[in-house]
Amino acid sequence: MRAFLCRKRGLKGSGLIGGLGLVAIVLCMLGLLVMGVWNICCAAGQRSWQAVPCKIESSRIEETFDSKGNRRFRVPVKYSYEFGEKKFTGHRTSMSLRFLGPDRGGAGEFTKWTAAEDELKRYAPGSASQCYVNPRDPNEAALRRLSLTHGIVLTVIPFGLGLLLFGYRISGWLRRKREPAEAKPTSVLSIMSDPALREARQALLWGGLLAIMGGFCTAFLFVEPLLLSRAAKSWPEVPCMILESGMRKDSTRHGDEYKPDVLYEFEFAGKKHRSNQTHFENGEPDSLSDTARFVARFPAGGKSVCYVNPKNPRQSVLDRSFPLISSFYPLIGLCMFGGGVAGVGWGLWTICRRKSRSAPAGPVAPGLWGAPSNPNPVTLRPLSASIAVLLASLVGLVILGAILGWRVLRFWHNWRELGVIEFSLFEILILLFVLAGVGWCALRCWKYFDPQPKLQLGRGSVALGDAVELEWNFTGPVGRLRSLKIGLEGREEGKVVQEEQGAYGVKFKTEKLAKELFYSAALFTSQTQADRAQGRINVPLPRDRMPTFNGDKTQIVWVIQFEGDVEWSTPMKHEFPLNVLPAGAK
Amino acid sequence: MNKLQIKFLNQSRGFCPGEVLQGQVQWELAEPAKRVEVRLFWATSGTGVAETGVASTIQFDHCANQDTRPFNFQLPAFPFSYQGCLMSLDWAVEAICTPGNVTAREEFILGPERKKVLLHPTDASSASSLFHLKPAV
Repeated sequence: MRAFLCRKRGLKGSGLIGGLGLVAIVLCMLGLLVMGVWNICCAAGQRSWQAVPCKIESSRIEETFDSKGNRRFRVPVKYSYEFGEKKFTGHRTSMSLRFLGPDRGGAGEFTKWTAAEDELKRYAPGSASQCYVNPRDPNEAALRRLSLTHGIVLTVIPFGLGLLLFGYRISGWLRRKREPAEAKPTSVLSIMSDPALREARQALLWGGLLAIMGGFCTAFLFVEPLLLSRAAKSWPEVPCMILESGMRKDSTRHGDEYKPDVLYEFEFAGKKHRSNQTHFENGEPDSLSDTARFVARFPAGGKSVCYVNPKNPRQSVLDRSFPLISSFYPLIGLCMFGGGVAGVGWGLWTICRRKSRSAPAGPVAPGLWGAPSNPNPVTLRPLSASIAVLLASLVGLVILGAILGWRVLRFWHNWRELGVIEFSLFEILILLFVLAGVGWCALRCWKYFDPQPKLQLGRGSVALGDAVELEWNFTGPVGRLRSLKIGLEGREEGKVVQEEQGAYGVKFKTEKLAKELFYSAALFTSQTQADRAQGRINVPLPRDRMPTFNGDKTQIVWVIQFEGDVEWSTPMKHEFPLNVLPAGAK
Repeated sequence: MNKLQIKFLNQSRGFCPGEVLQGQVQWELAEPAKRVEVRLFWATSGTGVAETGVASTIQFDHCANQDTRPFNFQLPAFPFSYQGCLMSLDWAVEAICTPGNVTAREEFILGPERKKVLLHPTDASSASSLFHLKPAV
């Protein structure tokens, strides 16, 4: 049990933090579980309350402010009912769970005026309704009973997460028990445990989950309000009166957010309406500068226009636009969705490919895992000489430069107009990435104008123990080339998984490309400028090495290297792949 | 007690590309097997991520409890068995009996001169003085 709960290996500072994190998660889950069970108990207790008819004596909308000064709308309701031939008066709309916050006297509290209006309409003065009375204490009554749903959700989440976590830990513990770490396999891996298939199944599972999460985020944060905004283009413009105008400040994990707080009144189809909805969901500005500009457009007591849904006049906004880049969250959702779909696609593709490979119909096709045979001459050019790469770099430079310029202009504009320069840590991080991208694209563009080698190989593939003729020349400003060295290199390349052990098992895994050199030979070193500009050499290959091998995770690669110093630029280093066949192959 | 065994009929465990590997698969099972599959495959192992490639498969259906079946595989031209610093590649024949997933495995070497190719890090003293080539890790 000790081994299951805590593996002592690697219990250092990071492990301690991981352990504390796990304890915090367990405590949070326990807290949720207690709240959920308490909620279910209270809701279940109210199931025994008796439903009796009642009459709404009075109801109204009250404007209040919370401790942070944000506007709220309360709807206190007073009603009368009879129970056991006695008359009682009640004021609770619903029973609240005391530990979830201060008791507001049972009155509903809303941030949106329209929601408060709905409540008022539901419990209009003089109307008949139904209330639930505690038979043990008839003074205790409520218009609504507690819902079981909240309690069930609060219970199921920690229970499900706990089940997943402990299931994973138990399966890992059982696996370790079955296969002790000391017993390293001495023979080859069995095809029964194909790692590519295992990875593909994991990609399918996690990619699917990521795509679902990202899809939900994108749909709710971006697609839905965007579609609503598009639909609102046909909503009629209605004159409105601004009753109150201000900003409300919300403190979030990412810093302070400033949202517009504007209450307005309009008349539609002969009826007066009030609303404090300024934008569609997720469309409202949240920075001080944007919100200040918006609020300045709608001063209290002023007249303006709002856009009203003709089918539902209670739905109205002051600004019906939806900014495509309102925040980074929809973009994150979109990236999650795209990454998830890519993971699922890769997983499916790998599974199908492996399954089709698992039972080949005939002999192995030549060149399936090795280099294809090609007796024809080939010409090789570095990627940096490609006009497509130059154009892509230019496009990247323009886009990233525009983003950078737009943000810098915005900072300057805000400082000039409002005297504030506001940015979040997240924004700085993004801008640093953008800056790095600008630098990288600029360097790519600059490298296009360096001297570029052009290689002509006598054959597209060469066998071990054989030789191939290599002819080269340079295009571009050859005069800037200060030195040139040509070499041949053979190396192993493979994906290596690095696991870091934490106190509670593997903390994280990273997969990176590892290279191991097994052959290198110098082929040519230039002495004069004329040598560098063009030349011809023979490239001999050793006999007793491994030809080109193209596995999914492991490769044997042979490359011809061109290295040199270039004036006014970074050192030149190009690698051209060489297809090497087994000895004696044609 | 289920028993599944692979025997190579060739004298050596080393093979050249294109040669024929002859062998037999022998089993004694508690119940008749639905299928016995013999697969010729390679697998990589080492510090990197392991992978496998199946070159050929032979299938025996509706098998008796106890039987011996011969098999022949024409070995492919590539990849060779090799031993590198990062990874090594080995060839094997594996028999899988379903249901029950009883397995047996026999390894062999496929390479020029019937030997594993050994990839040692290059000495390249002359090369390094000219190029300053360092093994990238």
